[in-house]
Amino acid sequence: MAEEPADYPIIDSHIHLYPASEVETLAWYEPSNPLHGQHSLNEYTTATGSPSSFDGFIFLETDRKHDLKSGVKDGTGWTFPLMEVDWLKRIALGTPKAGEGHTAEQKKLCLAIVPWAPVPSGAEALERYVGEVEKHAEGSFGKIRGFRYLVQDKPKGTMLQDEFIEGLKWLGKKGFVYDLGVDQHGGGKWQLEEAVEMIENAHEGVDEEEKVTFIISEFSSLTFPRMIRLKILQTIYANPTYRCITRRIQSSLHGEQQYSNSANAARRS
Amino acid sequence: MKLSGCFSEMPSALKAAPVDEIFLALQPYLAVILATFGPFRIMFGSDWPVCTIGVDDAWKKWRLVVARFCDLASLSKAEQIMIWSGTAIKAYGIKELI
Repeated sequence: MAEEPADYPIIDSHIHLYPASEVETLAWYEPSNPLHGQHSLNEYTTATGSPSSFDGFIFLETDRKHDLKSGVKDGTGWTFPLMEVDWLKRIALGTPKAGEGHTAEQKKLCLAIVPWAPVPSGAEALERYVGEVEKHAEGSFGKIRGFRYLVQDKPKGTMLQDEFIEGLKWLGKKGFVYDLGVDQHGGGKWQLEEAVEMIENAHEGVDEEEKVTFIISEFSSLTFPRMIRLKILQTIYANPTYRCITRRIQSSLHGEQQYSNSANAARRS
Repeated sequence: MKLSGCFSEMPSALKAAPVDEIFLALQPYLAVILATFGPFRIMFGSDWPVCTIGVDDAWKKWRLVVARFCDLASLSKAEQIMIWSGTAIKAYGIKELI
């Protein structure tokens, strides 16, 4: 492999972790899946090789089984996402259960946690849910910086429903970010178009400091419409819709000014 | 915008290709991302363990692809720091590292 890259501090902004004991609670899990079995910090640090410049990671929810309706009704549909919050609490506080593949020492690697949340259930349910998250997370709650509800596998219109927008606005008001997972390649161009509309709706009439920040996961989801097969630099540049959409996303994203501050301000001295 | 999730979208021959070849294949997309969002709103991410499907040493390989991109795009030191960690610190409000 090529030479070692320059030694800037690294944060891995997107990883998933799960213990073998809880794989049955993952919505996508089956024994034949290549991602079967335990994927804990022991496996992860082996994969990274623990370079000296490595600061840590941000955990993203891993699509545990859930049910929006029964979640709102009596909380039962939220059981497995909350079990994931417990798992991340053990990682972040360094209190592992035997055999779950992480140590007390490794807790410092966990820089932020982004659990699942029932965003389509609206602000009131979301507030109740986050209250439950706080109880489960205990001392790790401060690391929970945002939430994700995947829309890439949901029907058209999901992210434009009033309750969904209301949920996003609630997250912004409380200072949480929303991690957006859309899939233009697998799901279709409408997902990107709806996402732009969703961002605009969620920011409409909201004070600047309460606008929810959108973090776009998996850039390939947005930029690989027809992937490698069509050598598409020209296609992308020549496509006015695409160009317009990316510009609109850019202008809709919150915190433009704050990101233009000097990089040094973002780093510890 | 996260620089992550790329291996999942690649044909298997490309997944197995050397870092330089992967970089060349991704270059058009990376150029668009950089022009659209700028280094101050791009962050490194691996999507581990999803990135490991069909890829040997996926995490280390992806790190090298991103490093090659930073080099060849002639990004300044400040810009590279933002991609490797600064943007994530700001966007997620990570307090421990400020």
